[in-house]
Amino acid sequence: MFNSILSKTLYEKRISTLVWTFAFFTSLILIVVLFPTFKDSFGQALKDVPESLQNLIGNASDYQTINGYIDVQGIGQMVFLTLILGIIIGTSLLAGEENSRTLHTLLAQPVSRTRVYIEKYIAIMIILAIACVGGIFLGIIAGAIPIGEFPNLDLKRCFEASVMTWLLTLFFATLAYTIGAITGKRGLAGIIAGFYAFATYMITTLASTATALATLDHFSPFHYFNKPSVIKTGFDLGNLAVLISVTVVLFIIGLIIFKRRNIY
Amino acid sequence: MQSVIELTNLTKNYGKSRGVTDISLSVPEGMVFGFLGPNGAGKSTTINTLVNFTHPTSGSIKIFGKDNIKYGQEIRKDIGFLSSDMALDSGLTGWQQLEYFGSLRGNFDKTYIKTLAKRLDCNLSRKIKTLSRGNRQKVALITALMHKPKLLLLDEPTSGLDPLIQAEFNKIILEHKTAGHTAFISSHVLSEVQELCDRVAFIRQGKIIADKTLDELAEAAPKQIRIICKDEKLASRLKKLSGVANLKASARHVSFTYTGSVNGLLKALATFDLEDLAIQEADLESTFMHYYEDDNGVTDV
Repeated sequence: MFNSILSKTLYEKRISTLVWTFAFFTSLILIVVLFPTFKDSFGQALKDVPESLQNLIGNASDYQTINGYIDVQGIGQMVFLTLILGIIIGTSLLAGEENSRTLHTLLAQPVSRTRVYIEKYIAIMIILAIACVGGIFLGIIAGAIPIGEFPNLDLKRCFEASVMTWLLTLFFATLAYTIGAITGKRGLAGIIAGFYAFATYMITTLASTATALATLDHFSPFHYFNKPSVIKTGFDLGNLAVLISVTVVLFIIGLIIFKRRNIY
Repeated sequence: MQSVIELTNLTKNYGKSRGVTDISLSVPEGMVFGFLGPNGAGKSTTINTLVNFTHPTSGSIKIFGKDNIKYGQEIRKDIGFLSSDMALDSGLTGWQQLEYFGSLRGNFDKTYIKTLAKRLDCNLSRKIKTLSRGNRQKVALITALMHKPKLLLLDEPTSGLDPLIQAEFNKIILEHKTAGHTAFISSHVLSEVQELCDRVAFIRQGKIIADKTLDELAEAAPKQIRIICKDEKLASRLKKLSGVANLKASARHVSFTYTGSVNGLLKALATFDLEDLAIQEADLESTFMHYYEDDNGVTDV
């Protein structure tokens, strides 16, 4: 039935993956079907809102098109949920198994630590891809159809935004995974990754109005996530390169230390 | 005979805490080797370095003649490992767990696994999380045995097993030995060690304090002596005899433990008119207590 660590991990996480994917899917549907209401009322109200608040919830023009609305209300809000999933899954597959000692049982088999580390990481990538890309992208489409906005959807850009959400989530999952691989402590990995996500989100949000935060903002993954908006301008290759590079570096650091350290 | 396990000056520290210090051991092929010691003595530390969970601070480990760190993955193909707190994947059935490890090993002998499950009365169709501790331990035991390993590394293997299954486990280990394979067993169950092991090492506070065959242990261990004799001078004569300890004397009965040459004892007794003499060989438990008694007679367990 299982011929690899990857297939066994995916099997074990199948229910939670489906539940999270369904949660993202239905959340997106609920958000998208509210577009007509927001377009008529909320967009007008935002004209008098301060700029700093508009950075959080979008400006009036964003609410006039389905694509702009999905950008600020769909992608912008869903990323909180996807990060929670990313950090949970990032901490559970290695540090979590070390804490429960199933990792010891696995490592007593003739498998290398490198193989364990890589296959479990690939499982994270796949689970997050299903939940982020599948759940979010399909949720956008499923929400747009009943309100008659499907023809106005920019499917390519919506897909790219879903992929960008996956990449940002994967970054935080990798951070949690790496800290877990280095320390063997699931709680610590979750706390550090969660705190870093919260702090950098606040920095990026406030950086456009508080110039003192501009330098710090460059250390924030959110800076490279949706600035400029993926739905409006498509992939930014520079942002993609930064997010992917930092994720790869974290992955490699975790692997090097995990291979050498003691498993207690 | 080739050494299957060769520990040379193995030291493992956990920061400032002691793990094991300067341990050297050699376990020949075909031997069942017992590794005894109280909690915290360093048994699990040693086994964890053998399975490569932890790396030595200094010293070397060779298994099947190969460096345990460099060739760890290759070596583990021929190792079956079991610990008392071995955790299995709770969402899998016993059979799925075995299939999974079988696929990682590239070796899944369904017939042999079914035979083991039958002998150990193990239900493999239930999910691990629904099993009692003893039944989970049976599945773990099968994971260690399923590929007919050349070396078994067992840390408290019968913990949680009922006496009937323990007896079956003992038979399996003896069959393993008969097939020419080796086992390294850490255990608190001294009767089990006595029944299974050819050789025993005692570890105390991270150091090996004895490494002997069971016969050598029996020779060195204090024997329990009981004498019936009317002569009141016997007790005072025995008190002066080297090797006598724990002497208790009543009107006709004298009992004590004796370490040393039996001839010396018999010479001392020859001058008395004895009604009865019983010499009982020390069991492993009294040997164990003997090794863990400190200078004040307080047992370090």
